[in-house]
Amino acid sequence: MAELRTAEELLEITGRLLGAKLLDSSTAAGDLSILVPAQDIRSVLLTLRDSEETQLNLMSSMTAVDYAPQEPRFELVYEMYSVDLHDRVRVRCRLDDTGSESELPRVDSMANDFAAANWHEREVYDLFGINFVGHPEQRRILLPEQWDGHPLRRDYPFDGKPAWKLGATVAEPEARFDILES
Amino acid sequence: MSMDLQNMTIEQNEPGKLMTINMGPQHPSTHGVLRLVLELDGERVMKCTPHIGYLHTGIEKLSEHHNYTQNITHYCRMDYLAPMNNELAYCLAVEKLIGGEIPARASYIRVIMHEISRCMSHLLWIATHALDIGASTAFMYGTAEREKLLDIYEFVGGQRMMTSYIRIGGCKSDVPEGFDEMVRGWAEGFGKEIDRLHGLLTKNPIWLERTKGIGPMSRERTISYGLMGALLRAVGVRQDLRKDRPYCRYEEFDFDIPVEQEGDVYARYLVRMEEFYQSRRIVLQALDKLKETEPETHMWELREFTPPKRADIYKDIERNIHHFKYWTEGIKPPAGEAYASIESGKGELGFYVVSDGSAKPVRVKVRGASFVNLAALPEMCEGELIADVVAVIGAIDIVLGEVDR
Repeated sequence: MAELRTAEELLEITGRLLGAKLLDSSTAAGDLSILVPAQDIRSVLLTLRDSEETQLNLMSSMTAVDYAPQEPRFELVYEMYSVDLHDRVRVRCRLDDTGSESELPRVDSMANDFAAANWHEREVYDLFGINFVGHPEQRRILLPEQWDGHPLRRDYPFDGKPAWKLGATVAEPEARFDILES
Repeated sequence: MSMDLQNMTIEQNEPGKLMTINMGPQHPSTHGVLRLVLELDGERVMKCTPHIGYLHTGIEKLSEHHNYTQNITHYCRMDYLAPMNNELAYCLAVEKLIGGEIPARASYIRVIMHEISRCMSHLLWIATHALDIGASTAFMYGTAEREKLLDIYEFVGGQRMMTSYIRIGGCKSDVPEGFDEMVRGWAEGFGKEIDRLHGLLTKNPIWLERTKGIGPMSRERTISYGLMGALLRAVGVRQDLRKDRPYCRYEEFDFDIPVEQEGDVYARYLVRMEEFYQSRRIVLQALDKLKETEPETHMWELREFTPPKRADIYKDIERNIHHFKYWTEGIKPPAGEAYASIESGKGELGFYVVSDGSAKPVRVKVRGASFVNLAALPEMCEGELIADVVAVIGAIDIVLGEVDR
């Protein structure tokens, strides 16, 4: 078995490949984590996939983090893995909230390049409300199609009655009782 | 009502038209509550649309509202066929955040329980997979063997499921007396049991007819879908996180990674069957190593992140205060992010944990192996017969608790 490359070595390689697109990086706990601009996320992931030096060809996980009230609010996290070299790189990008509920933050979809991204992005759309431009079938995956709101956002209530406020299509308890009787 | 249900009318039965039928969520061979909308041309599946989320319990949202120790209890409930795998992956992620050395004894106990969990997952897989295809004898032998492993679970963790045995920094307690004999007793007969399953299925003409060449997937598509575990090894990729990115001192163990080339249901079957023998090998090595370690060193030395021993609480006030602070306030890992993953029975099980320095995580993302693997189901079963859908689901080996979280 070949020796695994350290996070520092990987950082040197990715820094050379990405140039100015590499905004920030961390090598905490031996894992390389890099921050890139949101508009370049597709080109960065494709560069890392197609380069002979990195070969990060497997998207093992993809998710979002809501840092509200910090700005920019959302962070997308792509866990990239190399099947042949066994390296792991975490690619992150930050997205601003649009400030309106009808208009969701937008980012390029990776679903046409990595089949794995299809369901991951549907999950992020479902739970965080982030619009993936170019996704073949962007619809909710875990929650019912008529659900209102995006539960993993920090401002979505955790429990109690206010949760129904966001789910505006669900009637108040009394109204539901009326429906049952009629 | 969703669109595909509204379109289900009787007129679709006319010749040349596709018939839409609903498979699940109560279908026994969908292993829980998976719903597939199948568009059929006669017996042939032209389009398959999985609908998931029937078991969604919002575990990731719950995680943000409970402290790090409490969260362990949520994760046992995801892949309920191998609960300790989930605990282990989560604890490894939090330990990565904190940074600290896990004692050898704790690591070896973890390895043994991890391999036993993998066997439990695989045994239920072969039992139900064979039952779905029609071989009900294998189901009996598989579940009977799994019962022995559940006994070990109960002996060590106190329960057959939801043990919460693996904790941040080690294990809840040391293994009880008689653990070594019990595991060795199981391992002694285990090889023969797997031989028997091999004898029932591997050269069985009906089994070959139902699995060979079914649901194939190329190497490129498998990697593109991010499939890992037995599905990736069945297309000729020698990949195993235990070897490639060792955790829990796996680099000290001697074992092989089984690989097949065909990428069909039969190849996945062969890979998983061989993994039984390899798991047994690892467990026996770990038992030997466990003997050489100091008893009662099942937790790390970081006092801040460890509950005090029960006996010490009553001896001095410091420990007493620490006990209450630990269980009421919880532990506070330093701010940062960490991703740790293990090779669970179903593939890569990963946890991405973000901390802001408080007692509750900002975000916990679970990379469920079943969730990722299930995404490839439509591509595997489109063009196959409807009876083969069941075989393909069995070969993917899903557990809906992990898919829906």
